[in-house]
Amino acid sequence: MPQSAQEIVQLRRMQEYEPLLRGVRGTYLFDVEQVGCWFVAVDDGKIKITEGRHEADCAISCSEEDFIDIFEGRRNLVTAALQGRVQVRGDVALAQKFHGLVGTRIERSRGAA
Amino acid sequence: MSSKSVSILEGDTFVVSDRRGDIAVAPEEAQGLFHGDTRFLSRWVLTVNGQRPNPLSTDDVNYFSSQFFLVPGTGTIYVDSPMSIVRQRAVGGGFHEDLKVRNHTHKPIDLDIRIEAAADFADLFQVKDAEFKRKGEFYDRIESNRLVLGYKRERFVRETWITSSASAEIDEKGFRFRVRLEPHGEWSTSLDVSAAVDGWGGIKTKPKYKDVHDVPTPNIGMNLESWITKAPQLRSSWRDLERIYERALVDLAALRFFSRFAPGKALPAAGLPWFMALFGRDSLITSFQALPFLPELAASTLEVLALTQGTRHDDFREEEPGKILHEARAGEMTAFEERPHSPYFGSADSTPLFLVLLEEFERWTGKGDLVRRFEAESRASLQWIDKFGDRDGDGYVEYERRNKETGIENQCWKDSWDSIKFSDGTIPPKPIATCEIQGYVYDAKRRSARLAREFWNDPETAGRLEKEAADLKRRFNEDFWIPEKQFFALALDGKKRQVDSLTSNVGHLLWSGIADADKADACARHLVGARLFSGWGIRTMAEQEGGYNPIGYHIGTVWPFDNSLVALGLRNYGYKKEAAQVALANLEAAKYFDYRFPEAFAGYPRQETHFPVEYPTACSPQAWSAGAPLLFLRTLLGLEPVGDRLLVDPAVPKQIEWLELLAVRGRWGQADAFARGLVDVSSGPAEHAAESKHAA
Repeated sequence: MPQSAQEIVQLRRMQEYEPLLRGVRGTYLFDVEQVGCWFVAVDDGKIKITEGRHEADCAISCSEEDFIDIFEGRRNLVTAALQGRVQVRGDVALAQKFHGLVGTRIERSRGAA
Repeated sequence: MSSKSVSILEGDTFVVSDRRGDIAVAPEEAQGLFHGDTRFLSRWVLTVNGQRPNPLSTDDVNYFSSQFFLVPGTGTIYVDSPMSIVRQRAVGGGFHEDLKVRNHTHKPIDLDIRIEAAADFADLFQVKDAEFKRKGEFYDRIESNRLVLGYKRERFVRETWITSSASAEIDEKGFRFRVRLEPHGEWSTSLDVSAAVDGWGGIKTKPKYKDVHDVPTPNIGMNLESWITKAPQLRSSWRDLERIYERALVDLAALRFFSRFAPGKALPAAGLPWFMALFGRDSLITSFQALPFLPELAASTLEVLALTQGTRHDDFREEEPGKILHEARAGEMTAFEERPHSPYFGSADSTPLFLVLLEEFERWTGKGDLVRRFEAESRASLQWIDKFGDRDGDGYVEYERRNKETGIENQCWKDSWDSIKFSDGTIPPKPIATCEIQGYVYDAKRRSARLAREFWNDPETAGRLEKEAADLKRRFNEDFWIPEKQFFALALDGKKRQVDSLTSNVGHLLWSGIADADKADACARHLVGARLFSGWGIRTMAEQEGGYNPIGYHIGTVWPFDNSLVALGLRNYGYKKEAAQVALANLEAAKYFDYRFPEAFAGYPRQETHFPVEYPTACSPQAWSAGAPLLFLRTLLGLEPVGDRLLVDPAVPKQIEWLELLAVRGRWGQADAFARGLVDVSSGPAEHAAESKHAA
């Protein structure tokens, strides 16, 4: 299990194509407080991640703890944003696509019988 | 909504006040300024010299502004009021209010004018359920000319910012103006109330209008005038029909909103006040109803629901890959996962209805690009139906909530807990496979087969879907038909027993086309028979059923949207007269509701009450009720796309002498439809109509 934002980004860097982002074109900026920024360009499912702050279509900023929890599917991006833990700016449709992507491999059972 | 309240709305911001313009009720009543499912003002009371003025007249100028004409005291015919007070309000982002006081005497008057303000920041769910346990802290502060009311729970912050253009004494409870009005003089101020939200795309909002008389610019890409102009023009000898139509168009314009989950695409919210939110089923059905009139709604609805389609397994939200959402909310309870609406996926019919609307959209508009673009989403929806919708592999889509605490028990359109009942009134065990959902699945597969063949270049999938649809229809007509009662069961329960109440759901089977042609006659007779047909419309549940209650939400009331789908179903099977009868009865009822269909009305027999009786907590306006007159018109005129042409095959009741619908947009460009009222609906049910769309 990744322990840091750096580790998550490294893992994601190895994945150059995400089928769930097919048809999606846009750029994201992930701003992790006191850790750093990553710029992610998505072009019809192809992903390119670079380090640094650049103008992006959708900017998502949060603490490192929340960043890890969201990527690992332990925290829901939408409710984190509604709570004010995460700031989502710009093209919210892109944020929604990102939300559809993270945590998809995790079976959740909270609230169930 | 109560006729004693005044509602104005724009998007998911709305203000409900009393006829003075005040917000001054108990917390559990739905008055206030609401934005993003949160009440940003729970008190807003004007007093003049310590007294609340009384209303002379109130006007909802249009759906986003209102004005209130007030005088102090009760007045008598012997004493003229020395002053008048006018409040003019426009909602958008928060609201802007112009307050004017006029002195009608030849002497100066000293006034102590006060606006009392408070905000409870209640989640709409709390208001609805009258539960106000709060976990955060309230605060207030005064910043020069601004009063800030706030609520904070961890990092969840909601604030109401209030400013006045005239100088005021501000305290934590509001604004005080000490005014000297000269003889025949006037004093005024402008009050701006902003809802400040942070988070998911959130920004500090500001009232959109600086003046109540600003040119209206709703946030929906098209202003009201363009919206009305773009819709087909209706003319009829029956003026009431024109009024109903105009009201429906305005209500649909008013209910358009941008979901925070997909801004930039205006789609219909479900209804005021409880359902000013994105609902999968409601938006899909409303868009279907409005397709021949306002196809823009369908395009937006499909885009937003495709964007938010489920991708994961989440029992709390009842999300599964390929599933179309049920409801999305943004209040405190959703934020802290005390409710699952972020978004919530607890509906078993939204997914097939998504496919139905997509195909219908292409059929009407000829816009295949959306069908091509949503191939992956459509395939995911089809996969959901077979893999997750059919929970036990019996070939039917059934539901049983996985979120046992806050999930919805009945995940069909009749979603109240007691809507599905045996004829003896008992509640069947879950999981439940309601009949109409199987119809939607049948229709979705049939329609998707065409899309696969014509747009996805996949004849193999097309053939498979057609085979599956045919197989489903065959099995359904065996398993759901009750021979001794001559109608389809409402559902199969958890033990695969037929739930044997007679309900309006039977009509949805005609809409979807799943009913065998040789069973349609019996269905039609039931639908317009005395047990189901009240005289004002088809009841949700038939009289004499154990569960029947004429004022039960889904067990005896009449729902205009339900009737509109049933009428189209009757028409599709060739029952033109019965379709006309149902449409006319509903449209006649609309007159009694100020030409606006409520969500539902009571199922009492027409001959007993002589007017349709209100259902106490019905939402109004409500999107699929506003869509109902449009679908009734389509049905009466027999509008149907046939290739690149619009077929017009009217069957209009004699009571409507003539009607014409001009400039119907579609893949044919524009076309006009004309009709004369020739159908006699005053006698009993018609003979079996010869031609049936689903006869094969």
